[in-house]
Amino acid sequence: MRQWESITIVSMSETENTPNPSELKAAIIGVIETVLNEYLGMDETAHSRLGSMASKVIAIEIVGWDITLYLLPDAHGIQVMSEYMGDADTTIRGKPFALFNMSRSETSAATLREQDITIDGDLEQGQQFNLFFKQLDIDWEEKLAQTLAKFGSESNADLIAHQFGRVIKGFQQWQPQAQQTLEENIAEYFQQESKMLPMVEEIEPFNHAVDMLRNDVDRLEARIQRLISKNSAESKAD
Amino acid sequence: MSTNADSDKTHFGYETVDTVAKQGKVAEVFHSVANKYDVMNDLMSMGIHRLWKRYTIEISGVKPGDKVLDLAGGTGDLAAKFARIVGQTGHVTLSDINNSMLNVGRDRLTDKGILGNVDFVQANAECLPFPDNHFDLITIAFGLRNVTDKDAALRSMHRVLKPGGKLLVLEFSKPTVKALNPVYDTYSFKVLPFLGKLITNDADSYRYLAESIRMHPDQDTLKDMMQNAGFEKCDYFNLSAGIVALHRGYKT
Repeated sequence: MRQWESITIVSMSETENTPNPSELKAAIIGVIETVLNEYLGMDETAHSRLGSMASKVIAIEIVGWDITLYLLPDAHGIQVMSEYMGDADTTIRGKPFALFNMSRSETSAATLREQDITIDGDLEQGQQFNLFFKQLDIDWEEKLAQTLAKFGSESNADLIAHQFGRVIKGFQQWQPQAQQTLEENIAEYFQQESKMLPMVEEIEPFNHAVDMLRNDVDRLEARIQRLISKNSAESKAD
Repeated sequence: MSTNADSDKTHFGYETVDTVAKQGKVAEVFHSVANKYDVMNDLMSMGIHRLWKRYTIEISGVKPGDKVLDLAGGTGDLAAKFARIVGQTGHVTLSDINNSMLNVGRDRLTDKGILGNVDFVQANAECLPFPDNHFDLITIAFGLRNVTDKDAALRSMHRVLKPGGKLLVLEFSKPTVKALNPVYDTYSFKVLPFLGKLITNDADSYRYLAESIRMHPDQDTLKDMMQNAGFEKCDYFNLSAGIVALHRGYKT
């Protein structure tokens, strides 16, 4: 009887904690899962790499949106949920743009700090998951050719896809060059025209001098400490 | 309730048939549609059945290690998702009275590599072949309306559920927006059988599905039936303006 009572108490508390997601939220999560898995399906090696993460749960907490997505990867894709009653193995927390950048660029401890991203739980799992997205290699040209081939002849599809691929590759090559030129122009304006910021050539000797001074002060402090210790030892001996 | 105990008659869509004959007639319908069941569901609901099932999973509160029974689980949509969530420490039983549907479900889950924590049981929901107090969660999605004796099925589910366990019944129900009714009727009785004819070459089966939806108890009646079967804290969520309702009840 006592055991039965304890079971009943557990069940009551469980009913109070039961999730009640909205229909819209369920729809959005469904769309996210579908789009994500369609995207992963374009990389032929993605699923086999995901297999190594099967049985793990990764929580993505999107700061500012008050949304947590639970990702359950296995060799057939990623199941996405907005409610998960178990414990996530790894929780990655950050703002939407920072999380997006994290999935595309190199991640070091410094950049995570800079972007205000935190990883809790199994850190290795978090890194592995991050690496998985960075290693996605999608041949857009091939996928486009396959899609176009369904609507016309194969040779025309290949030709159009190739031309489209060249435009995309051209853009990809142009984009970093354009970004670099923009950065140089902005730097030139602030350093040479408006004189609001110093030149790199001016800053470097200054930084070097500051480093030298810091080292000298550290050495002096160490010497003074040694003299104080020596002096107090001699006073005690007297 | 669909069964008339005095005359041993029950509904099969809009027809009145012998109670003992309903099970066989329902079986014929599902043998006929098993292979194209998912394609047809997508067309019938314009893909929204996936949203209704997702909602069921989100609300289930299933956790690693749980034992789940997916009744009338058919092609295994819910079972596949639950299997990943409960993990290797949990267990999912996919059950259906119809062996054609169960075979399709088993093949699909095997093709997805879902093995080890799932088993397949051909069973009648009215007399479930499982021990008392066994499952943490029971789901029955678009299956209860095809059961001959729904009250017996609910009592059977209550018996095999653990104290603290939860029953989720996802089923077509009564639309809450009256303006929707003409469109809904035209779609159910004209478009749906036409699609059935086109895809499975079987308009009658889909006419039965539409009729059985109309004969199914509405939201409050089903809630009362769950309470009569012993479930507590029963409530329901209308989905897509009540076209479908998700009923929830607990065994305490």
